Amino acid sequence: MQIDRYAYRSNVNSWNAGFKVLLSIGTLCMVIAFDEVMVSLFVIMSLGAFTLGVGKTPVRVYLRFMSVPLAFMICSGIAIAAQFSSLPSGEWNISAHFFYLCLTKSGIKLAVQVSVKAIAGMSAVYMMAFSTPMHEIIGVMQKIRLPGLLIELMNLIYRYIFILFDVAAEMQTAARARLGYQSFRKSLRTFALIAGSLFVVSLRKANAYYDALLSRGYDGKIEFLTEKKRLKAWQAAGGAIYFTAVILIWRFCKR
Amino acid sequence: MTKTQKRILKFSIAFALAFSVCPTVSAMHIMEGYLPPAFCIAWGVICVPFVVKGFYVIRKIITENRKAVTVLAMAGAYIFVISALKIPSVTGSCSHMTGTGLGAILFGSCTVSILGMIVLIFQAILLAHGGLTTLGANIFSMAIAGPFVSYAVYAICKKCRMNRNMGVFLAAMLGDLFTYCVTSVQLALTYQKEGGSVLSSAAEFFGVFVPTQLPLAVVEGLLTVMIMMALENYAKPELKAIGFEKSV
Repeated sequence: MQIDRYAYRSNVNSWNAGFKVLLSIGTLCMVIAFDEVMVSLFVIMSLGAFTLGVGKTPVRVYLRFMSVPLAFMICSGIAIAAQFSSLPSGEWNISAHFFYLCLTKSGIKLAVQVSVKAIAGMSAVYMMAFSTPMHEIIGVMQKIRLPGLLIELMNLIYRYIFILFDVAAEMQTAARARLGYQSFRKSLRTFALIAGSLFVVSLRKANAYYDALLSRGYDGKIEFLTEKKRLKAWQAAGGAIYFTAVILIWRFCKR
Repeated sequence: MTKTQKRILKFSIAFALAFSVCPTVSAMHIMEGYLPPAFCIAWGVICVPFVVKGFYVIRKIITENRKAVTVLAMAGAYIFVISALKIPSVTGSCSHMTGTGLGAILFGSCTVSILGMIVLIFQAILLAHGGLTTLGANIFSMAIAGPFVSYAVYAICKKCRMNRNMGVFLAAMLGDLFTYCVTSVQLALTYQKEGGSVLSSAAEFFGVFVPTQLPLAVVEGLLTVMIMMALENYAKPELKAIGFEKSV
């Protein structure tokens, strides 16, 4: 959840939010659509260098975020690469008595390709997440005319998440101080109690916040203001050059 | 502590860490880049009617009762926080609830589809769970299929006058499992083996995730029951306020 803090601190924070979103989503779409290992590798390296070098996001933090879906990648990598069958039909076969786990070259290649593509996609999204605070991303969604109600809900939910996280952390500390996590059974009970009281707290807070909204003249529409950040010519040019580079690499590798 | 003791301690910590690396971190969200464009769009399109329905339901709720806006937002934040909290598990690995079963039972399946969509966007951007291009597929499995099954199971159990807690348990567990069946099928449709059918591929993906997901589903079911019990003890008025008691 600290990603927002790093976004505010990033050197790229002063860039136009819409531009960053466009750059990130555009790159993401190209990575997915082109499905080319070289493009993915280029995107991983260039955007990684951008986030770390220009944005000055700490390397440790960046790596931690990138490694979150590692488990999913490994599990589904195995499922893509391997095949269960009663006959040893692959290039490498691991016998498991009742069936064989067959690895084929094409399967492994596919698994690696997909993993690289996934990492590239993540670096594209994280370029945006590590440089643009959430409320600016929501502001961009507002500009592309998503329904106002949705935007309002997103803004409120985003704010409330932090409030609830604080409350939950306090409750967890209190529970730990009272040995609430001594055993598996106890920790289940503690979790349920925390979730239950979190629910009560959240609804009470919702009432209080409604009163606060009313006292500030709420009439069914909440306006959120965002800072105006102008897009500079050299940034736009850089974005265009980057897109062209990605497309060129794709054309070049296709042949 | 002497130097050797420290060294032994360090070694044992490293050993413990090596064997308890989180193997189940939200294995149910399909990651960015795993689906080709056609599938991304297709799953997105499938979600549209549900999301539109949910949107109108929410808009109706809010125009009828303006106060609902903060309650709904809190509900969304609640689902997010619950699904981000680490739940206890036996091996010391970290895992998370989906929270969809609980959400569906508390707030109804249509509302959850919208709230779930927002939560999934936040999870993709803030926590690296899921992704933006796979949003459609994830919305379908986690915010539509799971909650609808949970809600249906819960309703059926209520009709059959089954024990309330049993109903909640089944609803949450089956919702969780179904979410994850859908995810397997989604992956299998994409990565079909040559010569194999969709079903066999789905079984493969299912098999890879089963050892981690089955206990998780049971734990989620248990937790949901315990949360519901806690809510009935402490939060009767709040439950009434969101219209839960009425529907029971």
